[in-house]
Amino acid sequence: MSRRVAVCAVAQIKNEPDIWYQRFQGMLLECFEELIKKTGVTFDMDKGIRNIVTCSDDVFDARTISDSGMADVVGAHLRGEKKSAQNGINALGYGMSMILSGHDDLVLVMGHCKESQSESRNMCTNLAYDPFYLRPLGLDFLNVSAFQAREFMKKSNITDEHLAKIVVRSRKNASKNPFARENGSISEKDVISSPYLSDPVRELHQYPVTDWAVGLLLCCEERANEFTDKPVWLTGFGNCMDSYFPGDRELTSNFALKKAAARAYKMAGVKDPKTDIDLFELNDAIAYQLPLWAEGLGLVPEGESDLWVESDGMDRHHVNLSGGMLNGNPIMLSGLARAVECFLQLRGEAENRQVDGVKRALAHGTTGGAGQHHGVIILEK
Amino acid sequence: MDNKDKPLVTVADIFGTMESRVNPEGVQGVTANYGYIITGEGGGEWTVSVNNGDVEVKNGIHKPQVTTTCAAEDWIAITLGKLDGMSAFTSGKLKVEGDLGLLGKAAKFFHKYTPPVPEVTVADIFGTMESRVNPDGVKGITANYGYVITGDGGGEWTVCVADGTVKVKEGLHDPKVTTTCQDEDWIAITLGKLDGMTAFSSGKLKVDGDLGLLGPATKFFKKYVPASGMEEEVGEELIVLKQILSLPQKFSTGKVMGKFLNALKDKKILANKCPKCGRLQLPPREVCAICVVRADQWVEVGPEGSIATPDIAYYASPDPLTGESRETPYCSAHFLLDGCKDHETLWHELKDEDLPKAKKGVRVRPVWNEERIGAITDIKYFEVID
Repeated sequence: MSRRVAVCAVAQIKNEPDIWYQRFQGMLLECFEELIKKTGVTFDMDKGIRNIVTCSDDVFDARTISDSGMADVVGAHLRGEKKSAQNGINALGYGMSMILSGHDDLVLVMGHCKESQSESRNMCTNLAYDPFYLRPLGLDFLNVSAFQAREFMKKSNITDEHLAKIVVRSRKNASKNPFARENGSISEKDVISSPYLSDPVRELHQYPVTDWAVGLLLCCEERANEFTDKPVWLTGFGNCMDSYFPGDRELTSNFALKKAAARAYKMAGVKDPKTDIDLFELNDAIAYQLPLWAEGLGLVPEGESDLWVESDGMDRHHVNLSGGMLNGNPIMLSGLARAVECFLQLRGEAENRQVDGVKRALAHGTTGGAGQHHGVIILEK
Repeated sequence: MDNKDKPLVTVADIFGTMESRVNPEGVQGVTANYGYIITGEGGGEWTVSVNNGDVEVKNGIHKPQVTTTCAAEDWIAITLGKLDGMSAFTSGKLKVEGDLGLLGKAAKFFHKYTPPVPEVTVADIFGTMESRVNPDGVKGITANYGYVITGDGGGEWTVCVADGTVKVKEGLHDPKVTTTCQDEDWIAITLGKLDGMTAFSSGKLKVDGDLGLLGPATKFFKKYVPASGMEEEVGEELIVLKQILSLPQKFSTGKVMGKFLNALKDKKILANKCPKCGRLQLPPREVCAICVVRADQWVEVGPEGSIATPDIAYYASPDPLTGESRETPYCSAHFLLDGCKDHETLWHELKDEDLPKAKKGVRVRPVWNEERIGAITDIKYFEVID
């Protein structure tokens, strides 16, 4: 049995602060039409798309069973449709396993999230917590992450200056990415003087409210050449769920990320990520997470990411050249945004941020407060 | 009759307390007789006469406009909120004859019924102990525990524990440890309202004999539940939290929905058309799902048409924020507007007064609101063309 799945094409709209002029169906439709145009894929029941994996969230969409109103614009009418309500990296892993298992040859993965639709993103993530213990205390993904930030900054000697450097670098990289949210450039001083949202997390440390949609066409190895002459291969996937209650977790241990990465590395035959992987896209919802996840993935020795940030390790290891989630990708899709950047880099289509000789890349996504759930995907040329 | 066998919540008590529970706002403007036939043990017949704000509850059935028939246990469950009235109606547990529309209003006539507080007696606490034995708690223990409960409701009991078996006897029989306490304090301790250790240290509870035996005694019995205390069924450990979740949102129409809604301002109904199969979509959506292409052609349809499928709604979900629900019954319908065919129907409402004429094929026209804002409700409803 083949152990790899082809990504034949990706299509995305630009990340924007407020796509007020479209409903989310319209955002998806643009990606959908572009994928069909790029690959010539059909909806023929013998040879075309019969299965679609969507990624969306009921609370952000303010609609129960959020995928049910999406069928028309993702070609799912009278076809198999499965929804992933976790980070899109899981939707990709889901699509991959459908093909590896022999369930289908072709799977379309479509994701949307319109954060601007809610007056408050934090009100939505507050609803992720239970109504008795945590919700009444006001927990949301931001302030739970602040606990993690505080613990991690102490453990790895990460300072406000390090975080400012990470944010400024993210904006600079994003300015070379035509699909990135346009935030304008800022200085480290701007970051350090931005107000606290939840100490030590400052306003500019957190990714801004963003709307986005994306689609990917996955195919089995045997048929990939029908849709592309430059397939990118998904060769490893792992995911892991940590404790729901933040107090149960040692927040800087990266327990779930290590497990998820180990599974993906094993499947893809990665021995040492530092040397075996050429490019990394990490799910940095908040600036401190970039070095934290780098430690969890084995890219940096534990507790030493201060030195890594200071010595430009992020550039040396080609981390988040897309600008990362930090520059703005919506919560549900941050992992798919990471995979899309890996895809473009592996195809040599990353324009003026292209790294030469990228053969293997890693995309990472998280769901939940302070990275409760992690997913890791390895992509190869 | 022993206290524990007597049901505290009775149908008679529910009807008997109605006049004292009238909600003036709920009955305002309503004049009608509501008959109730409550069947089974504890049942009976009552008429609730509402006369523009005044409420009188009489025994027997007196010229009701609407009559509800229901079993006594179901009526009690509905009153206590343990059975949803609408579910009881749809499942046939509650039957209604006469003017159904009057029942919706009745839901707001009365303030909540609170069952009488059950009386807890010391005798009942000791009397139910054998049935409440916790086998793990008494395992390995052999001792007689004496209790001297003082006060009017007091008495003397001995709880005889012999390695797993428990006998409760009246009087004191060779106790190894004897607890003395006032009747009201003993009840409070049993119900968990007074902490045993606090009672001991404050002198409300006195102990003679082997004090060490008392620790294990706290695990001998399962929780005491006062007889027929229906509200107590929720129990100390079980809490149900009622909350309204609200999330402020702004929704976008996009160009397709926006075009349709904007046209309503000009009293125009637009459908969009699939360029491949020619099918119309009403109301319009971006894509023809069957052909997987954008439905990018537009045609004006109607505004007149005919009823394709009518349906009468008897239950309207309340607005979660105000608790108000719309008047029922009302008629929802699929309308086949002129220029449309097959399933190209528009879902909207039929005028209340036309409800008796609601059948397939009847000709209709839209009635527009004076002020139109670009919303599906710019069409007030459709009405039958006579």
